[in-house]
Amino acid sequence: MKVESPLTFRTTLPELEGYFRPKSLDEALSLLSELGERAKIYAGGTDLLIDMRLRNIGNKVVVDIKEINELRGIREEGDSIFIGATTTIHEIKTSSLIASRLPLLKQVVERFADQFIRTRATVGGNLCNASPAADTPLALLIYGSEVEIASVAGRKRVPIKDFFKGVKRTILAPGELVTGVRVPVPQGRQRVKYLRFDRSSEDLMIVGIAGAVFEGREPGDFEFSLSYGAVAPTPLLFKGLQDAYKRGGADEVLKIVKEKVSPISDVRASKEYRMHLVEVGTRLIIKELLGGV
Amino acid sequence: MSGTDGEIQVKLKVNGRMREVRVKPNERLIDTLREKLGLKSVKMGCLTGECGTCTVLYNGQPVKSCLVLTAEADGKEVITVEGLAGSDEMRRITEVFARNNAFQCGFCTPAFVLLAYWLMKVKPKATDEEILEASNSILCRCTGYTQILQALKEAISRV
Repeated sequence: MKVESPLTFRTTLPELEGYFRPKSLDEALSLLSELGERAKIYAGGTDLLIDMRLRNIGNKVVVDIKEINELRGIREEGDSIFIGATTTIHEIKTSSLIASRLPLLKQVVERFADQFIRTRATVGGNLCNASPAADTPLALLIYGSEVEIASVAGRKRVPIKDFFKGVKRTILAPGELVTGVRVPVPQGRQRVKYLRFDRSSEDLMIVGIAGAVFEGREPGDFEFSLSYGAVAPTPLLFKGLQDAYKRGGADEVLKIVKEKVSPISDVRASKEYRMHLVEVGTRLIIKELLGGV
Repeated sequence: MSGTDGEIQVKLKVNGRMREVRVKPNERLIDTLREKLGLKSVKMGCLTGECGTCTVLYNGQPVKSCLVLTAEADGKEVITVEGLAGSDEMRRITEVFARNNAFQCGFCTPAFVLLAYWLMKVKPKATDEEILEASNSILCRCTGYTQILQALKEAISRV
């Protein structure tokens, strides 16, 4: 059987036009503005180098942003935590601040690829690569994060739920650079759970489901959210599911979820199997976080 | 800012020796090490960062060299298995790998040897879980891992 594939098979990378390593954000932004669509932003390389080889993306100028200090690090700023774009997944996984304030993000990065990849892969790269199966968006969506974007024209913040536009597509325009992600820290107690269905973590997820219950001030008052990976062109977020849950438990929640998910069949699983995992996984998470089924 | 539209001059320390190479922007660390510096212990496996057979120590960290552009390696330090030859650590690694039959075809062995060396140097108190977690980065299609994990445990058991 002949399988149509968009991928090319070669062992080397296609020719590139140049390589630049700016030392400051200003330098990087003017370079990106000058290069426009010719620029390819390079951080960990764990997605970019695979893409360039398999999708034959050549004739680009590589802009390596790893030496820009202000793009790196995890800082508490007021009621939120800022994670710089070139902060590695390993740094997030081993951060005590993330473990105590953003436990769902911690759970997600623990299942991210493998240790050698985590030392290189960055959170900014994971967002900008915009894979439907990306890991970190599942936690960042539930926490209501904002993506910080800079260009020579200035800076802006975009809610992460508006950042993804489709498979491998974001709202970023040529010349724009993600500088980091700002994650609001929940003020009350939080219960979180992440389920990643996969053959092994170094493979992409078949389906990923993250859930969180944020407790409110009044007893019995809570907010319930779920997010899903690899079941639609972009990661999906469902906020405010507590009313549906109170009305009809997991059945009611699944009704809402199933209206939006549209998985495909690929080498990892059929769409039917993915739908099955959505059903089973959602029920497991609800059982763990809310007790009922 | 450093960089260029053409070839890039990169100075890096490889196995303790300063080396200078001229590379094109699309040259990966695996290409430089194998083709320019003759270090064939760095294996071409999947080239997508999954198999881990191209692992090298890059500034002290195990990294898959098929996903690193050499252009960024200016001023960095790289260690491959060739650089371990003759060291006390390598003698010990050889002993524990041989005793446990921790290889069959040998294709993944350089990567696992570097992992053993890294564990001895950086994580001599690693728990079994930590050893397993680190090992997940390298695929072996022959042994079933049991022997390799045992060898890695023994490599650090008397450090």
